Amino acid sequence: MVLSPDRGLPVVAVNLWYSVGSRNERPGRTGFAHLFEHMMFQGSENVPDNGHFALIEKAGGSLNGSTWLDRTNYFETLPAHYLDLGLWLEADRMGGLLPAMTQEKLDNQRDVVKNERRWRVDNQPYGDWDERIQAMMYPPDHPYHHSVIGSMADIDAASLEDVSAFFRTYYAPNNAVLSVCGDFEPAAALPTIEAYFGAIPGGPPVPPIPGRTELPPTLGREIRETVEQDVSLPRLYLAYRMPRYGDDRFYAAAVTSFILTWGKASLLYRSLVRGSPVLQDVTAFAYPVVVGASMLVLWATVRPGVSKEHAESALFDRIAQLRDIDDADVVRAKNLIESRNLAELQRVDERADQLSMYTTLFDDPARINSEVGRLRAVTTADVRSLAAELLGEDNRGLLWYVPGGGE
Amino acid sequence: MKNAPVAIPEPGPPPRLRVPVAGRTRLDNGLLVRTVQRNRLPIVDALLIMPTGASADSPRQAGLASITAELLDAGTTGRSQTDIARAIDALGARLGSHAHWDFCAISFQVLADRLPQTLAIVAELLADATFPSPELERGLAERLAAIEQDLEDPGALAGSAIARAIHGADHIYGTPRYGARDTVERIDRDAIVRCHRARYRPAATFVVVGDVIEDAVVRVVDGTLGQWAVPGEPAVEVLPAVARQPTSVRLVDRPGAPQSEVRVGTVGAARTSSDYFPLVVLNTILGGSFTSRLNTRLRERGGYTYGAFSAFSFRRHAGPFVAGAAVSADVTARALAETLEEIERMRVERVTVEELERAKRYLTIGMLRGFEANGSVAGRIADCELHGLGDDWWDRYADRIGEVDADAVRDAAERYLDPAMVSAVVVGDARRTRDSLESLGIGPVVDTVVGRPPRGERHEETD
Repeated sequence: MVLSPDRGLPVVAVNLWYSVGSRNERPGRTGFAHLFEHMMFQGSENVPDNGHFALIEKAGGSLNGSTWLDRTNYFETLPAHYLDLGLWLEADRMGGLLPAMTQEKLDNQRDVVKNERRWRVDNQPYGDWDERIQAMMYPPDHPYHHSVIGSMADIDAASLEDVSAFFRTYYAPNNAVLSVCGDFEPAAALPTIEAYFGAIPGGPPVPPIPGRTELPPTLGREIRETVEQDVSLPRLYLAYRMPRYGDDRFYAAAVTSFILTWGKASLLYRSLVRGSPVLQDVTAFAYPVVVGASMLVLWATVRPGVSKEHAESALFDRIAQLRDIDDADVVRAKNLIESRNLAELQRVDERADQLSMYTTLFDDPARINSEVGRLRAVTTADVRSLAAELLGEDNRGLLWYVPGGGE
Repeated sequence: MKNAPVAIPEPGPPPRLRVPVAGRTRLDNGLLVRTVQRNRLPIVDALLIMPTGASADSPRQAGLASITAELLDAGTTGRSQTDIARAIDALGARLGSHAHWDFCAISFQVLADRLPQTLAIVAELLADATFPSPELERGLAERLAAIEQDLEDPGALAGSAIARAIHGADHIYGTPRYGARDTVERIDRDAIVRCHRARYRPAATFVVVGDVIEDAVVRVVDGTLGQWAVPGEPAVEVLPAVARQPTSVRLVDRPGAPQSEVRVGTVGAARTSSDYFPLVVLNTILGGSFTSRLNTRLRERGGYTYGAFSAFSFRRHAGPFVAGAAVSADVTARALAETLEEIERMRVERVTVEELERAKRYLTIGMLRGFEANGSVAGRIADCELHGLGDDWWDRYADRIGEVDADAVRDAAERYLDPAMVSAVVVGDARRTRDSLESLGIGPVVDTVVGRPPRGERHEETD
């Protein structure tokens, strides 16, 4: 539990991280953590069906949840005088979800999730990229091999028994972090939190993450996949294996992603979108995941009239330039990182989520203040050596979408 | 250890909201500077609003304002595009220029101690953008490629098609703000230069929110943006009248699509309309929140969609009202029918006391969160200035929402949302959906290709 008072606006953010995500799913039940997340909004012991949403809206608040590889989070932002409501709703579903679960609700949310998959993945150009990249970059027995949204078949197979078992295993106080941030008095909030959450019994020890969690630092080879889709421009998704989030070298990867594509003076944007234009757009980012290894992922759309071979080789030429990158590029990237960090921290819901994250992953909420220092500490030498060791042909996956076929 | 209570906890006493007060100074060149001091984080958000935007584009050159905004940093007399980008990135500034329907804008976010340098760059772009080659040609080519890509995006297709259906091809609101292939092909450097001269002018508002002191900010703005002067005349927008169309269903074929993007729409209201508050409440109940009627029916009850929505675009002139959802292909016609039913229900039934209260509370209590981030505060101040709403608009917001009753909501629905006069669009697999759409009997089903008008519309000229 992390309590972080500050008296900006009269708002509070309540945020819960449960240490369960797609990585914890067993074979045949991909997408279950996400489907379960939907069930958490269908009522609980003292909250009728859609009551959670209605109560928060009536209080002038907003709410949502999200599922990721390593965790599931639930959050609401409320006017300050409604803090108790937010806490009570989270406690009621943490302690008493199961009495409210019905087959009808499960079937309905199954349909919603299947539509979500259709909307995000099946009906979008390039829509299944993350599913394919994860499958490419993580071996079949690694918990990140399958996507968060899961397959239609597995979503269809989910049962009410699965819901109960999942809840009992993962949705317990010993597997959760609660953060409260904003305009409130910890001395008043603590007894309330104790009253609401204290009666919830601890759960059994959480089972270990299934599958093989250790990975060698590189792929050891180049992996390629090509998909034909009804698109007019080819697009490349390029991934490199990186150290896991939390490892010192992850920060060099994060800074590298900024050097590559953040801002119009970034290495790839200035040379390949502007300069000698072969790309329509390019974006890179580092995946902050903790089991075994993370990834640096980049996507780039090829300009009309440019061959994908030419675009690919131009891209690799420029990425190789990271091996003797200038100080100026590193400084510029770090300035952008610093600005962005401060901008994000303006919002109470973002602060609460970061507090939950740092507590869950590192048992250290104070990292919300020190994390940017780790990024600032990355040197030009760090970036150059990361590029030399990890951004080569023996450590990359390429996923090309090309025009042709069409569904 | 106490047992948790089973009853929903009551709220504490409501806080007193203090809407930030913005200082106001008019500079000699006409620029209005509004400042809000907030010293919690050492950052500044700034927003320059020039009050003639994309709605001054001619429909034949749709996209002009948007492209001009995008190419503003393509070069100045003294600096190349690369120089400008390096300078901005080195400051850690996130700077962008864009065109909204009602205004052209430049906005940035930067550490407070770098405000003066950032302002110097902005002043240079405003006064001295040169739109040079080859950056100009490259930018136009990029825009054309992006337009082409949007033709694969079912949501973007639906948006284009419904806008055109509601406002017609002769009205600028009926065209994509970022342009279409034929309109962008008509845009050349002369047009961009003229657009810049006519719309990027100091009769504008500049809002600064963050770790600043008002006097110091005004001085540094005066020394940079305050020196900006543009000869000649400002642009004028001329918009034709819009008539609501009898209902038809425009079907944009995407063979094999697992989902259909469904849209229903009609002409809405202007930002300064006297119907604004009833319409905002109406929209929240109909499709403007998770517990709205559309979302409850189509998502939670029907399982047709991940989410259904509705929205009014309140622009200087009446923008569209659009409701929609991405639905499973096999329930396309049903989802469209139910959307129309919910719209009709708003007209013939008064909303319930519970719904009304929930919507009003969501709006009035929730609005204070828009004062959290600097950029959001800047946007609200600029919006009030742009439409002449007065500095006390947000102070009075809760009261004016509070005045809206069920009769006002139904009355507004009756006048604005006649289902016999709405346009409908379906972007989906025609083979799977055409028959059931025709069976609905709500109007003719018209095959439509986005990028080309439906058969029967003859106002498209060719060069």
